Amino acid sequence: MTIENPRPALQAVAVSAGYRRRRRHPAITVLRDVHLAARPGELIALIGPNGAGKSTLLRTLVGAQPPLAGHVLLDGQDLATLSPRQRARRLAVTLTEPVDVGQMSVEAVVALGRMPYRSWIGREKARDRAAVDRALLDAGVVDLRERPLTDLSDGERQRVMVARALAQEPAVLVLDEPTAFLDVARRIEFAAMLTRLAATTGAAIVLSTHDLGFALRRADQVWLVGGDGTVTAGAPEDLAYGDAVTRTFTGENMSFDDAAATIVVADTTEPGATVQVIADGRLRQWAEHAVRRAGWEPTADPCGHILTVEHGTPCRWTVNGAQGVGFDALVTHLRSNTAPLPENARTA
Amino acid sequence: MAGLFALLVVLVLGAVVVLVAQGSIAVPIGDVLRILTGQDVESPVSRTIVLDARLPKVVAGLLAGAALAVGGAQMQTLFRNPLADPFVLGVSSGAILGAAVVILGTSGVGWLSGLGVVSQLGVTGAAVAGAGGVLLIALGIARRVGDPVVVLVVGVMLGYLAGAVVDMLVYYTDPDRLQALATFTRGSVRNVTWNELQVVAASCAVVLGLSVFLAQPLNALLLGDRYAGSLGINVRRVHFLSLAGVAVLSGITTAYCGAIGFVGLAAPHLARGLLRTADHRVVLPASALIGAVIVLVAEYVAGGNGLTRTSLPLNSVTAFVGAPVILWVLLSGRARRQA
Repeated sequence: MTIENPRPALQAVAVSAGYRRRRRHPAITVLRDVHLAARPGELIALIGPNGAGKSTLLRTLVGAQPPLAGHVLLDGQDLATLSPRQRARRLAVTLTEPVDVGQMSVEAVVALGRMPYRSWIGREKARDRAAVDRALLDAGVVDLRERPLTDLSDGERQRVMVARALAQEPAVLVLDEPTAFLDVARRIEFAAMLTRLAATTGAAIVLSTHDLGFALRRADQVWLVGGDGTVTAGAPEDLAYGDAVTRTFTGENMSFDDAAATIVVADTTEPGATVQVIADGRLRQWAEHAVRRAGWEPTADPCGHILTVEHGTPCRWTVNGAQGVGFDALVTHLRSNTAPLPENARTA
Repeated sequence: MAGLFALLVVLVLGAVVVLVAQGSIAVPIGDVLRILTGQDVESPVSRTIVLDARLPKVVAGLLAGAALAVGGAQMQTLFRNPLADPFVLGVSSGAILGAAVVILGTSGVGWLSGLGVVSQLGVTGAAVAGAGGVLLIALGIARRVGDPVVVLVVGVMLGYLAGAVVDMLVYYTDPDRLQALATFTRGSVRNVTWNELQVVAASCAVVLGLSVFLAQPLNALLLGDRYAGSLGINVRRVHFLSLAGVAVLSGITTAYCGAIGFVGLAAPHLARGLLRTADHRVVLPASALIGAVIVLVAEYVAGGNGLTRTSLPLNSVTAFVGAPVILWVLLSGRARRQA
């Protein structure tokens, strides 16, 4: 065992995953011969199209359903041989299902995470309180500790559920679509928190997500569930540079945009007239965006048409002598003026 | 919180003393206290009235209230439904059906007091089985449907069905045995004797005591079954133990005191509202105390006060507490959110 390659916290060895519709019916195999390893401190994104088997894989990895073949190892021990309590001390989850605990403070909810360490009537020990305090701190919800869970926003609740999972002091933290209900800002905050948690707690964090950009930018490792029963594991760059991501996600008229690290609608429109855009910095960026939206082609070089945009909110623009305010008006103007083009520009 | 608990205990004790003192013959409260604490009093009649006539019904009421309230609190968590309770979901009707089958089906004359310990156990066992049967059906439906209001309607229907079967049994039965059933469906603690109390008290005390062990797993169940499972809780075992406990509590209570409605529903809500927590380690004991107070007060109003000659069924009194709580829960939207 070396520092570069410590023993995986969670490992799937030749796992086949699937489910039975009914007892004694033949099992339906969704994923075959899956090999995966999550090392301590790694942030791993599980991605894949709907119906590819993300949930099945996740449920198998946390022991909610037994693998049809192969083994899931938690800290080197077969998950199937661990008691529920032993498992709960090493593996914590957050689920997508909404939680309604009635009147219960954040602190009380987080303290539920200590249950695997307590007897059925056991009192809280100093060690339990310390773990709860640290979990509240790590998840950034210390200020909320007295508040009832019902009063919190979606983003705050999600953090509290993470704190509850951290109170279990797990070696592996599995989050099922944790960012699904969060707005952009909360999503970015949450992602930053996870990166920090992976580093500070040393837990391996596995999360499923539909956010491809997030997975490729933030994760140390991506587990890509293809629609064909395979799971490809690798660094985000390897999967993006190779064709794995493109092959799995792009449908008709879509392509993978390397700069944005996301799938975009393929640009199949005929380029319209070209216009020289005179503006700088971010203004130029968005002016070109507006020009493209109107079906024109922006350029920096002199051509038949000149668009000048001046700073201001909203901005002022001049196109071939016509003036206006705001990009909305600009797009409208450009769209209605596709007719007076230089000769032969739109012969196609 | 300790203060509130102390207040509840004082309320329960106060209710016990008042209920023992008042009645067709009033016993001075000083005498009551002396008799209850084992000291001598001048009048042996007072002693007989207090110990043999009134104390059994008061103890029965206290235990019934505590049992129904703890059963209701557990059901509300198990069903993930704020409106669950033994009476509303037809569990009490199931118990009556079970008891009725044995009472009307066996020879010998009806009411429990006329039966020996063995037949008492038979009727009680049948009541517990009936309660358990309805619980299983209701829980099975609740897991499929989810919407608390639909489950509520289903429970009411199950209650009607059980009641209809009881009615049919009654129709084909010798009128002599019917007197036994009349009290059954309306709820009363007045017919309980010390002999019967041995069974009720022992079983209720055991099950109430055991429910302490369920408090923490029930807390985990508040998060949902999957979360509870991820915390190392054996969800099926907790469900089974809790359901068995509820069946015993409501079955026995119904067998001896008849169907007492709404206590199991109202007491846990009052407990959560007063103590501002959903933690079962607090809610279960607090519900037990509040349930006891509700039944004792209801018994006082229903006829234990000695001021009126008539005696009402307990159900008509407890409905005054329970129905507003149901309405409050429905209108405040908690029922909807839990769906």
